[in-house]
Amino acid sequence: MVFSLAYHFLQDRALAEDVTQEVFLQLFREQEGLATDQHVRYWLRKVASHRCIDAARRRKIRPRLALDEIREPAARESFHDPMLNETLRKLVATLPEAPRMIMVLRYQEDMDPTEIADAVGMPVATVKSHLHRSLTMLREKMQRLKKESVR
Amino acid sequence: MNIDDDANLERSLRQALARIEPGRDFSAISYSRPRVIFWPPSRTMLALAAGLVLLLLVPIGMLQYQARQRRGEQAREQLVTALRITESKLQKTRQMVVRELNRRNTL
Repeated sequence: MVFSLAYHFLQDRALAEDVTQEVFLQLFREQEGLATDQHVRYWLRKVASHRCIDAARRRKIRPRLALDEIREPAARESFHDPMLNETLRKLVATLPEAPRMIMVLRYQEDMDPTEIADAVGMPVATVKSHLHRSLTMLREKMQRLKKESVR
Repeated sequence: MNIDDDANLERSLRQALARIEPGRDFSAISYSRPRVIFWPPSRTMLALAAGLVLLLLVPIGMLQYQARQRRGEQAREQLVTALRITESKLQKTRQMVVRELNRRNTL
């Protein structure tokens, strides 16, 4: 969960491993305060989100991919389309830090906006607005990619 | 699949952002690293704590020593003043006695 969250957010395996390790080291130090599995999961998501955002800010790795750099998805998209997945991952990676983390928590961890708001320390309305805007942006970019591939 | 559809886009996002596992050697590295990472900080922390205690103890000791010295100084000054007062009283008494003896002799 932690590695996956960090990897999807940072798009850098080595950095994601570092963040994962930092999170688990912190868990090791603070484990006495965590009583239940649920509490541990909640704690891990929260700390991982913050660590990822810190890591991204520290290393200035927000990827700014141009649409040209992203390969257009296959014309006939199947249910399990690795190319579409890759395109979506890259498009998510172009989002700013906060909405990117919100998208990863929503679609990787299947968390609802209230849980996400709690994890990232934002109002629920802001989380919903980020989700809505990110989805709209992704849809628009996917449509543009499609049109470019048709041409 | 039509990505324009919200449900489809969300399903695709779930697939694209599905959980992935770290490399096989990651766990081995993670388990081996704490030994390297944990010990030096705890030793450093001990050294730092000892240093801090020393840093606190030295000024406290110095302050106590200075306070004791100040009290000794004050006691010495008080004693000197008391001796001076006694000396002047004795001198005055002696002068009075001498004056009285002289007066009797002249009579």
